[in-house]
Amino acid sequence: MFKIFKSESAINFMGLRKLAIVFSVIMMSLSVFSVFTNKLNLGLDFTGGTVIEVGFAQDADLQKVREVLAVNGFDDAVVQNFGSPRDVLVRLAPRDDVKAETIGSQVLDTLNEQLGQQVSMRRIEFVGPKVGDELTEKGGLAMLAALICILIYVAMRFEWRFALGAVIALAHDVFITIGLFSFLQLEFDLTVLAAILAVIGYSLNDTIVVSDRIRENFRKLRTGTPSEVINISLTQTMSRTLITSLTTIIVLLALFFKGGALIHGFATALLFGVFIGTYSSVYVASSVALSLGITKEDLMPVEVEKEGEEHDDMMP
Amino acid sequence: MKPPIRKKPLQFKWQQLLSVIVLLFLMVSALPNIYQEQLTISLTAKERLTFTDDTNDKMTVPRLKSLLTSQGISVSQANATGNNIAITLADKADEAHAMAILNQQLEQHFFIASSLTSSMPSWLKSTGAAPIKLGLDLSGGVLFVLDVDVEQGIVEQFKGMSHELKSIIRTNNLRGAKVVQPKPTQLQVIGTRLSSEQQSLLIAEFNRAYPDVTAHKKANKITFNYSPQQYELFHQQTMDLALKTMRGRIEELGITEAVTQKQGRHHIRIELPGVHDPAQAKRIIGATASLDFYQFANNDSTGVFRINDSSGQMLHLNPKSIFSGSNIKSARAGQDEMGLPLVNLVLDSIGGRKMTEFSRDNVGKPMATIFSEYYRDANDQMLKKQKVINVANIQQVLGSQFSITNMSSAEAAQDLALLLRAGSLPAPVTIVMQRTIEASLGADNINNGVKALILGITFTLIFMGLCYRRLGLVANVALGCNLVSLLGLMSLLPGAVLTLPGIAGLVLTVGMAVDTNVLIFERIKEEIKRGRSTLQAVEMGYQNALGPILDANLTTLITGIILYAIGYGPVKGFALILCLGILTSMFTGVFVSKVLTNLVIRQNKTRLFGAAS
Repeated sequence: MFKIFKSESAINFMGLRKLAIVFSVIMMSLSVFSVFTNKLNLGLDFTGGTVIEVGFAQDADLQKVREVLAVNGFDDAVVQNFGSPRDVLVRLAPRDDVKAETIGSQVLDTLNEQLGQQVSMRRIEFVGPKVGDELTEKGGLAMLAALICILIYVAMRFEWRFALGAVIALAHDVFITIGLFSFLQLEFDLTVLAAILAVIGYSLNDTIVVSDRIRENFRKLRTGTPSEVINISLTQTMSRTLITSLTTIIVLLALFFKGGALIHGFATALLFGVFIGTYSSVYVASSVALSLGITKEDLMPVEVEKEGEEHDDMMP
Repeated sequence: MKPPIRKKPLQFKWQQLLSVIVLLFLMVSALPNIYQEQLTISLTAKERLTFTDDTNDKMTVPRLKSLLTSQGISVSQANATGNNIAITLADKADEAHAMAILNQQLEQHFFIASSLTSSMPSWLKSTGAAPIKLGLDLSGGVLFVLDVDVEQGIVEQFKGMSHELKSIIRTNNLRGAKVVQPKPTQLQVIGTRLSSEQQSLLIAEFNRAYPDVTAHKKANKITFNYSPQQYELFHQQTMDLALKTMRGRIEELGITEAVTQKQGRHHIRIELPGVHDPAQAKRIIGATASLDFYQFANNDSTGVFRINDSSGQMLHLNPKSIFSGSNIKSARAGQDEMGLPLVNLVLDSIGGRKMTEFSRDNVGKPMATIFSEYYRDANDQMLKKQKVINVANIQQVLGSQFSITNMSSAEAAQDLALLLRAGSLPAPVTIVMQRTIEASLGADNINNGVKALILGITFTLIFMGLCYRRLGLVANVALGCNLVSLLGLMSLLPGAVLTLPGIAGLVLTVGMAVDTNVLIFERIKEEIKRGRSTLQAVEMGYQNALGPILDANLTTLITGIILYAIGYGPVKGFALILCLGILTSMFTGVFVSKVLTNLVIRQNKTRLFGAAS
């Protein structure tokens, strides 16, 4: 039989706890450092400006496109291939002109007249400068709102130590994923923001399953230190953690390689986020709960029976 | 600790039945998506055809077909019935090209129109089922996001109020009263000699015209302003009116599939699928034009509104307009006897009454028609540009019907008529975001997405099959059901739109949906290791996994809902798929796969995870 993970005895995950904390702290510091020094390569959605995607009949000569645009007053244009050598993306910073939204068609006309070959418009996007500011604010707000809601829900369903552990793990994932985008200077657009929120969802899923098992084992097992109980729980859920991560990574790889250029940033963020999220649900969330001094008594509330009944009714 | 397994044969059957019914329902809803939409161009003869040889030749079906095929357009079907010819294109992306060719060649003889029809069988059509709506990034089209400057709208409103106050003071002979505007959104009437009755009269008269403004009486001044609630109400009304006006304009443009909605607090999002040339749409949507009619200033008018006409001559107008564009019931572009463009107007009852009253008193006097438009200057300041369209002497008592002459061109007359028909905007708007996507790029996006989806599904199916064998089969069937249910649900929801990030969400859902099954199967595996019988292990596995499944999915649902509430456009599409995917994966992962597991594993002798009990 094909097996992903097999272990009869508990693995001492928590033994590596100190090492993991050092690793995570270093990664997070590097991420914050990178965001402050390298900044983020923010996409059109956030910065405002104009993007024009054009298709050429043959492979495009980028140098020539740049020259033509520079001569015609678009010297700030960033010209690059997009997806294939025939597709070219031209990006322009926001301008103060009155009719900023007409720049796209101006660029297209310029290219058509001056290049001596037919280019076809694939996409023109114009975003006003104010929209971006609003979006940045909203994006940050969305993340904060998500984290707070999760904190409240987990604290109610489990225990505040687990909730804090889960939220710290999520913040950890978000920081490091953003750090990666800053370090590699990958474009950070609206879809990447959505991907990071999806990473929060995914990582949380993992953390909850592990926490659920830890709670169950604290109640069930009569012996063992908190550290031992956590190790047993992590070992028991390891098989599931790996299988789910693997299937998710498989589909994300499909998306990364076949999904097209527009979805590349999204797939990158999620792919990386799933790795970090899997690691953090094992090491960060449980470690934090353990460091905060979780004990058997904390997880023995009176509500145990009531919860059992509730689930009973829903059983098929 | 564990509750004993209770047998509930009745409940079990009931749930089995419900699962099957829900699944079937969602499957039928998803069915329309496998049928392609076809573009049919219909040619209807303008008159009873008395053919010259030339037209006769062109209109035969084979000739039309070869005409299109020679231009690289493939035709899947062409039929003639009576005076009507229907041509179905193989690829709907060829629409613009085919229409251009046909219009050029046959316009004098035929009415040419195109429509999208589905190749769904009629029984399916009769259920009212429809395929998923595609977002702009998949279908191609134009997107506008407009910023509505409500603040400016309020400033304009207070300007109008100021004129109203001055005119009340004048007509009631309230001597010594002065109107000042300390803030753009506050008005004060200062008058030391005003008696309390006079103050009350002033307020009562004023509130008749502007009922939602609060007045505060003090010893020698009255302050008019909006309370926070009234401000909020004004904001809401302005946005609603702007939205309504935009819908009207788009309808006037003849775009039927448009989505117009509020985005955030002061933005309007307009999606126009299938529109390839945004120039006209933009001219109309972005226009902030309004039309007002003014009388010339005379001695008893308060203040003067000065404006230069096209020849540079300064006009002195009474700042209070006779009536505005909002009183116009219908407007139509036309020509006068000389063939010059004009706009014929019909006023509503209020406008008609105002016009009659005004013109009766002012026969022989001139009246100015002023066209106003807003635009942003280099410093992002909103400016109002006004233009005198014409000055005409009032020849007779006018009723509710008259015309505006002196239009610069037929096109200008058309645009003005359209704008007036759709109603004027209560506040200036500016385009803050515009996105034009070619249909071919949309088709590429769909292609890429579907490729990734198929690849992702294939690997997931193989992987689950290898991991869990017999139970893997259950998980794979459940995954298939999940996808079909998700498609069905998306087709059912009227507001659901599939976008490129939505497809990405669909792919991600495939990866994450198996998690529910993995959680259950791992529990079953543990129970078997503990030495339970197969059937018991299956029962316990499903029961024990339910808690973590609920918790994990509910928390993910929270993130999804926040994403849906705060994001917009493509991201909303992603969030929607994520949320619906969680719901359907819980349904198929728990209920459907329980039914399936019971079908596959019927006795204790069945070997699971290498152990038979």
